Order: sequence, then structure tokens, then C-alpha cells
Amino acid sequence: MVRPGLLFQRRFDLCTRAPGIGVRIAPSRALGVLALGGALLAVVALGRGAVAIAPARVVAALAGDGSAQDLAIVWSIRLPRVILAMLVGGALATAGTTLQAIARNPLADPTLIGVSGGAALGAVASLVAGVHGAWAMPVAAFAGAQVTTLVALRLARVDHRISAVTLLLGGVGLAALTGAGYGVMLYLADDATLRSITFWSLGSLGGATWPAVVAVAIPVGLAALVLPGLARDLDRLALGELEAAHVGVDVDRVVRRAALAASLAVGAAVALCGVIGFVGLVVPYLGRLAVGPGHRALLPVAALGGAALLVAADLVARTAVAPAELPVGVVTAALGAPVLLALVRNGRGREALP
Amino acid sequence: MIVARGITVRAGGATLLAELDLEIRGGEVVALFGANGAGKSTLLAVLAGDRAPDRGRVELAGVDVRELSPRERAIRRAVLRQQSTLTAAYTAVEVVRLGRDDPAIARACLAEVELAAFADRAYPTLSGGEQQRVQLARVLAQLHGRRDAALFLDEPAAALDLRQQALIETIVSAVANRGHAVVIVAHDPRLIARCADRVIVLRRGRVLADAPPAEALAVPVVARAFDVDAAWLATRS
Repeated sequence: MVRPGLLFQRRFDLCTRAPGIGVRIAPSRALGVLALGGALLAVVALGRGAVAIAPARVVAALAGDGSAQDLAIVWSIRLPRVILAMLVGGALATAGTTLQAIARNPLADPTLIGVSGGAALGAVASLVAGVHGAWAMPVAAFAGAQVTTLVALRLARVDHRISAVTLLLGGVGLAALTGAGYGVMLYLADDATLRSITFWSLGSLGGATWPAVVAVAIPVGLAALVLPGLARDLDRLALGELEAAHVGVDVDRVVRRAALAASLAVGAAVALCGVIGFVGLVVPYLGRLAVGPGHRALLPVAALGGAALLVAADLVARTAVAPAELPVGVVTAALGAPVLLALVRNGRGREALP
Repeated sequence: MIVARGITVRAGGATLLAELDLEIRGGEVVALFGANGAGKSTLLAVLAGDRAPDRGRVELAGVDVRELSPRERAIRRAVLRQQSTLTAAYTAVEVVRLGRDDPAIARACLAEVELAAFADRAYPTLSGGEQQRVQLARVLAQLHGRRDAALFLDEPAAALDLRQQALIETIVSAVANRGHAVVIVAHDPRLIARCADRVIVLRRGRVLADAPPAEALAVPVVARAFDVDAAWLATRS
């Protein structure tokens, strides 16, 4: 049944208000489409670059056949980058979905509420402090993400409710604060460190190597172990924190674990690739349109969707102005900012205001 | 069923509830009545286990409500709050399943609040009254098939029209007939008179009267509860 006036809303506000629940896609179908699309994108991404490789040869190389050059390019250079893009994109989208469930607000993107900034500060601090080892940056970034997540939620949470205004203004404050800390770190850094910070802060997947893939895969894998068990309780949080407690959710425990999983994912992503914005905003938004707000479907859809989106964005980033490379964050911002504007325009952020 | 002893709640130097004792049996419908700030909502929060009293304890079916885990508490009591803040695009039946994850029970409970045809509509597109009834169905689903639980309702009829208020009355008595204790915070004396077996009138954190509606809603009691002139009140009612 379509009510008068809703056709208009349907186009702009499918996210929540449309009776267009009827257009929801079955989760299994959405996951199938995303997996297939992601795989096709990956094959294209593996073939494009300074040396073009036809899709058939890419597939052959993946199977271990083909020229030594094809094998070297696909396995050593492009595959780690594509897999890193998948892991980071999936991590950011899943973290965004989770933070939005806790905050009960679709605007709670890791970048907007200051979590990514905290991760960045942690990562840079570990570089400046000269802590070495493959794990120093991911661990420090995770710590930074966790602290800023907890501060952001603590600030915004009044009387069992998370206020959207406080969350976003708190995010501005946290971003300023972590930005200041970041500046101090730059000031303290020696020339060599400064160069590696600059390289890293561009938000690029250019540093992709197999060890980098492993360093991201482990924390992201941990988050992926925790989140499915929280999916139903994240759904119940939509009722409101007090109401969620009324239907049996241990709210503090669920929020703590979900925030931890989100911090693991954001920390890993930021440590390896710098701050890449908007993936955590756009993908959950589109995911809700496709499969509805239930997290048992939304979390895996966001993971696959984020993976596919970042592979595509990175493909654009490294081919659009070849031989130069755009920072991938520029591409995701170009895609994501209009979605943010659409959310604001439709008052989706406002609905959770006190 | 619900037993409260010596409940005292203070906040910011004020005493919201002072040494309150009460007992509510299974199958009984009790209304909490009184002026704004008399302590009705605070008492409801303490009885439901949302808020720890500064002194005293509340037992649901013999167990201290604060010692239960959220999950155990959800089996023993359900709570319907005055206003829903749900904005996510769940369908009505999905909202009910947040209370009890069973599709058949969820649909039966939507039918009980006369919203069977709305099961697959998006919750945010429903009117305020329809949303409130979906939330009522969620609460009913939570209690479905259980015995000796408690149902707490905070102004359940505030957003409802006359016909829907009648529906609330029917549902409240059906829930009580299943052996549950029902506690309603309400401002509307007519609703209380029709629904409640007993009315607890609160005034400044103390029990002013604890009696059947006919007695508790008598002009002198109400006049004292709201600090209004009895003669003026008599001309109004």
C-alpha cells in the first residue's frame, strides 16, 4: 500500500520511512550479488595498472598459471593491495554499522565522531616514540580508537540516551584534540619519521604487502568473531537503551563489546592505511536500504559491501590520474559526502535528538 | 508477586520516595495516581528494576529484582514506556520480535492489539497511536505463555483515541486474568476507574491512599493529592 506523498519520500528517505520495506532484498541474494560483484571488481583491479593484464590471464595467474611477469605482478604487487582494500573496506563499514547501532544514529561514522582521529594519533605517536615492530602501529591505533570511542560515547550519553548533537559536536571536539596531539607529534618527529608519517597520512593502500595484510586480518578477524553474537542485541538497542534492558539486553556489556570490536576494526584500518572517511557512513546507509536495519543481515552485507566499495575506490584512485595516484580517501569522500548531505537533508540525524 | 519494602529514593537533596511499602498480587491491576512529581514514575522505575532505591528492596516472585540479570528480569516483567524513540526502519512485526523472537507469537500479539494487517508495514510510517500499540504488542509478546510475571505501563493511553483506550482496558484485564500483576501509571481518572482494582495515590513520595478506585478517587483524596480546592474539583467532576 502506498500512501499519498510517500512516493516522494521513497526516493529520498528509503532508509527508514518508506513503506518500501517491500523493496527489501533477501539477505542471501544481497550477499550473493555483493560477493560476485566484489570478485569481478577484484579481477578487474588485479588487471589494471602500469602493466595491463587481461582478465583471463588474471584468473590464470591466480590459479598459478601464466608468465613469470604476470605471476609476479598479480601475486606480489596487486593481490596484497586488493585484499588489503577488502579487509579495510569491510572493517570500516562494519565498524560504522556497529557504532551507528550503539549511537542509534546513522550519522555515527568513525571519522565523524572522532574515532579515526584517535586511531591516527595513536599510530603517529607510536612512530614518533620509535616503537618498532609490525604490531606497534596497529596496537597503538587500536588504543587510540578505543579511548576516543569510549570518550565520545561517555560524552554523548545522558540518561540512557545518546544525543546526536552531543555525539557530533563531541566528535568535532575530539577531532580538534587528536588533531592537536597529531601536530605535537609532527613537531617532535625527526625528518625520517616525518617522511613516513606524511606518506602514511595520505590515506593510501599503497603500502600493501603480505605482512600488512596479515597485520590487518588478525584484528579484523577478532572483530568478526565478536560481532555476529551481538547482532540481535544491537537490533534491540534500536528500541532505546532502557527499553533494550527491559527486553533483556545487558546494555553496558553489549555496548562495551561492540565498541571494542569497532575499535579493533578502525584501529587496524587506520594503522595500515591512514584515515579513509565515509566508507563507514555510505555502506551501512545503502545496506539498510537493501536489506533493512536488522544486524544479522546488515553486518555481513556491510562487510562485503565495504570490501567491494574500497576495491572500486582504490581502482579509481590509482588509475584515474595514472601514472600519479589519488589518495583513496579523496575518492571515498567524493562518494560519501553526498550521502552525508542526504542524511542531513532528510533529518535522519535529527530524529535521535533529545 | 511484587513486594516492596522500605523504598526510599533521594536525588539532589530531595526525597522522591519515603519509606514506601507495598504488595501487589498476581492478577491484580494497580494504578499509581498523583500529581506531577509525586513519585509515580520513580516508583515504577524502582519496581521494574531500572533504578536501585537508596534504601529498601523490591522482590518479583520472591527474588530481589536488582539481583537478577537483565535476561532473568525480562522473563519476570515487561515495561511499556510512555514514548517510543525507535526510528529504525523495522516492520511492525520485527519490532514485536525485539521483545520475543518468535514470529508466530509476534503476529498473534499484533492481532491482539488489532494491528494484524499492519504486521509488514514500516514502523516509522505508522501513526503515534499505531506505534504505541505495536510497542504494546511487543510487551505482550514478552509475557506470552508466562505466568506470574509483572507488567508495568507508563501512561499507556496517552497517545490513543477513545476506541484504542477501550482496547487498552480490554488488554489490561486479559493480562491480569492470565495471572500477571499489572501496574499502570495514569493521569486519567476515568481510565483508572475502569481498569484498576486498586489505586495507590502518591503525594510527595508518600502513599496518601491505597484503596479501590471508588474510595481513592473520591474528591477529598484527589483534592489533597493535587493540592487543589475540593469545592472547585467537585464542580469539575
